[in-house]
Amino acid sequence: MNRRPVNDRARTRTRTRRRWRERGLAFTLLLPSLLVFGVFVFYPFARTFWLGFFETDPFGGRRTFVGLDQYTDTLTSSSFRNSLWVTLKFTLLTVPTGLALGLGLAILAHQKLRGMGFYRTVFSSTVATSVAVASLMFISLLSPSVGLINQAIRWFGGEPIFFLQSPGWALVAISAVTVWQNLGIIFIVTSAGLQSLPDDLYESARLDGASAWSRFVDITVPLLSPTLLFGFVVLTITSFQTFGQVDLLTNGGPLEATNLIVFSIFETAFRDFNPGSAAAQAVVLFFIVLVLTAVQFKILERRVFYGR
Amino acid sequence: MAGVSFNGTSKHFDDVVALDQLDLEIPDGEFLVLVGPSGCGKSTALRIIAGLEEATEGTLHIGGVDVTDVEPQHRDLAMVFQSYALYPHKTVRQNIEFPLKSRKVPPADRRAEAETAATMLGLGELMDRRPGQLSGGQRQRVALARALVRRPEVFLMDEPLSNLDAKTRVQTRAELSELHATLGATFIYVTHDQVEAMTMGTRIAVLDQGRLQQVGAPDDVYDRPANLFVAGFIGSPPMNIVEAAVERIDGGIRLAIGTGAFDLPESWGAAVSATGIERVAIGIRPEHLRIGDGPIDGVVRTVESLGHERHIVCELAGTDHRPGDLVPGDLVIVRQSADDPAPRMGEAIHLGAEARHLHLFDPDSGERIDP
Repeated sequence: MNRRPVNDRARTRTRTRRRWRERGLAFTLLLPSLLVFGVFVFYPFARTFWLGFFETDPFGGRRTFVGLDQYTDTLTSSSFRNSLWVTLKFTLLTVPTGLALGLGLAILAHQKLRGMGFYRTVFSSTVATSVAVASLMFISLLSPSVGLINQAIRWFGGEPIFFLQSPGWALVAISAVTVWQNLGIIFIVTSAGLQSLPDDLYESARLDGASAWSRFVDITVPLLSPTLLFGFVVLTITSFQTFGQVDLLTNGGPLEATNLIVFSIFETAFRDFNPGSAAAQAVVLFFIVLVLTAVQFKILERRVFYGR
Repeated sequence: MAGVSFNGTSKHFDDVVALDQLDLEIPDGEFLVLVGPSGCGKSTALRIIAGLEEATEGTLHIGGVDVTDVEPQHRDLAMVFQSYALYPHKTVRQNIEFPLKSRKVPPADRRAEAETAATMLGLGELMDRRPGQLSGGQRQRVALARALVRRPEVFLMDEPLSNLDAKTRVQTRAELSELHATLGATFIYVTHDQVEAMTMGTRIAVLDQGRLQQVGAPDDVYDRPANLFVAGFIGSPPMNIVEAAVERIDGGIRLAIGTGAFDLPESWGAAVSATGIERVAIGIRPEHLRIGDGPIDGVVRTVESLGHERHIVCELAGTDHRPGDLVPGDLVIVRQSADDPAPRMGEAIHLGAEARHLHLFDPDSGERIDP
């Protein structure tokens, strides 16, 4: 009769021991990832955040604590605000276009036609192209003298356009390179999404009398909405992080027309030799992207169908 | 309302013949069940009616009009898919209204029509739920409501009960038959389940390897199967088929099975002689085999009790077609009432059947031989 409480205590001790053993195992399994993230993500981020509070020499040494001054300067600087404005325009130019073109190509390549595998390879190939190669391709495409596009304009009787040298066109040209480069990943992701949609939904809709447009709007878009949200968020984040094509094609010019935020941070750190201020700008950029992504999820997730 | 007719309709997928020269007339208002094993062409036939597959040869008429090249949306028919094909992101109401919305029916009208269809199928309480929140049976009803909401001339159903549990399936079977009686529309129903075919169809069409094997009222097909395939396919447990040597005797023929034989009158003899064959395949339904006095000797191998009846598997004495097997002889199943005395396993028995319950087939061509 009295043995039951003793048994209960023993059982509780065993359970506690098992729980600790499981926690130890979980931590051991997580340790390699934590180490990699710690060294390459968490520490650099914390260090950047910390550096934003100091004025430093060109190499990040001899620090003077300045508190939030550099953050205030960043937020009030007209140059930073111009970069932010240019980046926003760039995002508006690249994200919807990239998403629409990627989805359009995925829908075209989803048709059951002979030779479609070849087109799928071609459409997704930009994912394997580096920003340097893409930029070089567009330099030759957009060249005022020998570029294909200007040759075509001349053939139609127009005047050549200085795409990369004109303040009105430079951002459009950089956006075109970016859209082209993002096309591969959006094509692959949306193609995978399309493959998972059951054929019988479309067959049923055809029998119900739905037009091709109605099938797209009423079936494809809602069922692909998680994929589209993913693409939208990822493209927005990458557009805020764009650097390579600006550095290679326009150097932020002409007249700061393509001075995207990351390029501006690079200039501050490595041309103006002001790592502290660059760190403050980087932290501000981080919070902008964080808030923007949270807002996107908050607003758009209500329209996303996750299959329940 | 409209009838449907296949006229020499074939469908080839590269070298595979899915449907071979199908000629079938389905009158207006009929409940026709296309039945057959997997890959027999029944779903292909249904998809050709729907316009989801293009016929390689032949034509298809609906309501007397050649619709072979008409787009699915212009054929005025509705289809219930095996998976139900409900739009998972839409509510039950939106699913039911969708065919009307696609046809630009004003919102107030389509709401009223959807309510009527939903009430008919007992979905009133579920209108604001999504398919993911419904049971299999409820989804099936939504698919039906979506099909009937625009009152099509022809309803197509592709194994709509196959995802339901046994109890719901029996209930839905009855409801579908009732719905057919209420609407009076043409129903074309595809299934591989011969119980569904027997219980629901006004007529059933049995297909195998893309060819129509037999079409007729369920009882006719059951009682007079046109060939060995239909004999083996329709009926559960299936018809017993055993081969027998044909001997001529005075006043008829003797069909020798193992150590025993059935003697049949002259009318059979003439029919068998006309075919010129020396062996026949005898078909006997399990419920027509009697244990007790009979000319065929056998041994009871297993006894399966189903509560209300018993299935007794017997090995026929003197047959040894699979030497070396655990049970080398021909096996037959006897369906026995649970009230009858059960034989023991291993017991030697005598089996008999009335001559009118025997079905003879040419073992090579599989065709039925009638006296």
